[in-house]
Amino acid sequence: MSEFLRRDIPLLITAFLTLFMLAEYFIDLPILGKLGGDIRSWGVVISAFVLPIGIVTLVRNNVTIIRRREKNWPYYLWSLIIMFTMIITGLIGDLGKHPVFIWLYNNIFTHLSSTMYSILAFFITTASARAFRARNVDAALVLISGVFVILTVAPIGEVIWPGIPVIGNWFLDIPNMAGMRGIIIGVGLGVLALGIRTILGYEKGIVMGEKER
Amino acid sequence: MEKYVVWKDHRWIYLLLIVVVSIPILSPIGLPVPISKSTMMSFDLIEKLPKGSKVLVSSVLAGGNWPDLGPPETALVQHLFRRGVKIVFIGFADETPTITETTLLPRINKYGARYGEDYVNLGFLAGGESAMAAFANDIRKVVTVDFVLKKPIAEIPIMKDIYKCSDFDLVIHIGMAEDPIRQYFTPFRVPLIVGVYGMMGPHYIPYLEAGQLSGMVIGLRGAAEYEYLLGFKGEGLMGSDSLSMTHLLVALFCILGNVYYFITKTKRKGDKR
Amino acid sequence: MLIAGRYSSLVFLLAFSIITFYIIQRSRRGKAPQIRKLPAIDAIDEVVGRAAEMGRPLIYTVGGVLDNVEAPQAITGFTILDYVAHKTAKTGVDLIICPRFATHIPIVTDIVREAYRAEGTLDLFKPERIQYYSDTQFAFATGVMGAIARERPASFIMIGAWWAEALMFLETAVIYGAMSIGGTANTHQIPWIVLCTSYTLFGEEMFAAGAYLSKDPISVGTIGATDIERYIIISLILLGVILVTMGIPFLNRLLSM
Repeated sequence: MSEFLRRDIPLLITAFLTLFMLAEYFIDLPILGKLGGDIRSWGVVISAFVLPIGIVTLVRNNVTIIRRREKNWPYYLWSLIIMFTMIITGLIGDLGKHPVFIWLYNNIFTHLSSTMYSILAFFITTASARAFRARNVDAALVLISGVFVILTVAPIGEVIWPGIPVIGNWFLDIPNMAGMRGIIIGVGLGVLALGIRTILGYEKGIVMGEKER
Repeated sequence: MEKYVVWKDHRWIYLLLIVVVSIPILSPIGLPVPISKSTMMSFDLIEKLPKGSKVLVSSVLAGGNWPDLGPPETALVQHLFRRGVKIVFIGFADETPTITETTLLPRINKYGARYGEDYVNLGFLAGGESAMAAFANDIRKVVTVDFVLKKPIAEIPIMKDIYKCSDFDLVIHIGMAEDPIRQYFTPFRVPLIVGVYGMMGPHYIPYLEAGQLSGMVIGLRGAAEYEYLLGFKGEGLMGSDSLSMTHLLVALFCILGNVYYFITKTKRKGDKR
Repeated sequence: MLIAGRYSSLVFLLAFSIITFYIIQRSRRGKAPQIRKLPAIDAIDEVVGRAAEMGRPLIYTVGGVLDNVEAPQAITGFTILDYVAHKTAKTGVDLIICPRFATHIPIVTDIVREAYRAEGTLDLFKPERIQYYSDTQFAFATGVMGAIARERPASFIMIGAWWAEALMFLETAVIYGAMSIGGTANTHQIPWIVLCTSYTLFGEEMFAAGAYLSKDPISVGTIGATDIERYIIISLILLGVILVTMGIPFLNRLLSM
């Protein structure tokens, strides 16, 4: 594929669409609004069609491992069986209403997802026990404010001492908010910089490698 | 002293945590639940909604985030049904419409509300924030049928006179707050309440203080507060004692870990001399 | 013709665009600003070297959807992946990539393949080492945790927009003794990444990483421009605080237009 098709056309499309959507945000013209709405709908459709890429990649990689009988290959076979079971039962009849699909979703998938989320509680506790050390003044300040905030966001803080939520809320409302605002502004500027580079066609990172640039 | 250091072997920490979480569920302690400002703001705003107001409930609720987002959404939606407002549900995660129908709505007293006339589920839109922007600007361009009856939305009574985000009196978003602030509040200035993950509450305080959010219900603690205000016992209040015990355990480990660190640091310095 | 309530945003956008364009042109003429050292980026050579010495793989994961404000973090992840891929192509380290979303697959495949091709080791490139698990958050987290447990990597790099899954794979990396580098601009995950990794990129360091690696005058110029824009915002904040304290809401009204 030529460089023009592979690199320049995607950059031109990206730059043009970015400028167009910016114009649509600021300028009150019915034609801009209508075209902007169409472009946003295209985004929804493109996102939906990207999922099959994931399915194809998963199938291709798993089949390669199964064919070569690599280590733990039965688990890769099982994951393909489960994936196709969910896809097929989800598509039979009324979409997503097949009893097997609903049973698998309600009794296995939902509980597995909740379980994985709940593992965070264990990891937070072990990370805090292992790594929260007052090695210097900054770390000590973080530790003290962290302990107050941990006890503020749970009802027990007020039971232990009524001053805990007062101090904890001060940490949340004053230093935390100031720091968050600073980071939000900084991140916003970073995003703006990337957007300007995109409009000017300088952001080539996703269409070519570093050395080619 | 080394043999008493539980964090050398993580399994002791896991065991302690299981015990600490389980005991309050089996035998509730009944700790008081102080109401935070952000929850009170949300409650007051919904309490003042006239009957028949139109509310959008936009969500990324899924099986995985149900423990943190499910209780806030349950409490908020219960309040909406109690106020007799019209509710439009839309999901931006693939599981949201299913979990809304199979898990969220069966737990709620709908006070005789009828599907299609008093509430509707518009399904799932792929595309994250882009989908949210498209939906907020022109609902009928991106949603053609509802999720349950597969009926064209123009024929659904509740959707009469609803074309874009500014046609709602209130928007409630369950998930992250930045996307709805950018796509619902900033262009349309519709009041926005969010139900967010517990750990993200401090992150969104600047938006609440700046007036971009009209209320915020933060995770399980926020849900407990909201249920207390509504006067019913849901997952929030049931988990509130466990939440307190877990936080206390984490705080204790932080303190004990540092006590151990300073003792061994002094001991190491002594040995060097 | 302009939509009311958005005038000040437009003025800021135009002003910052002009500043950025000007600084980029200055950088191209050889007057690029200096970027301070980013230890996390300097440590990439160290983690690749560790993987090479130990004969164990390096796992790299990129996070962030490409259709919202997380996109810049994902793009930073791709930029650093390109650098890492060049290093692993040269040293022969087994590079395993776990893309967070299906949309990342063609991008990471292309980046890694081209990096290996540029280094002349295309035969070492294995498409099956790009291990996609799921778009669903915890299914993806489980997949990465499983990959770390099975492959026992010497090094683990995670760059992008992370949520609750970050702590899950970082703790797993700690348990299995992998040296980690983490990077995110999501403030709620920064404490966990700082606690569990050896080196961290956070907030704006993420966006400077691309410029730091490439030393490209355009990228470096953009970073310099954001510094000037930050000084403008700080000045406006200070001015606003003084005016509001004196009871003059002029600046508030102006910025609300």
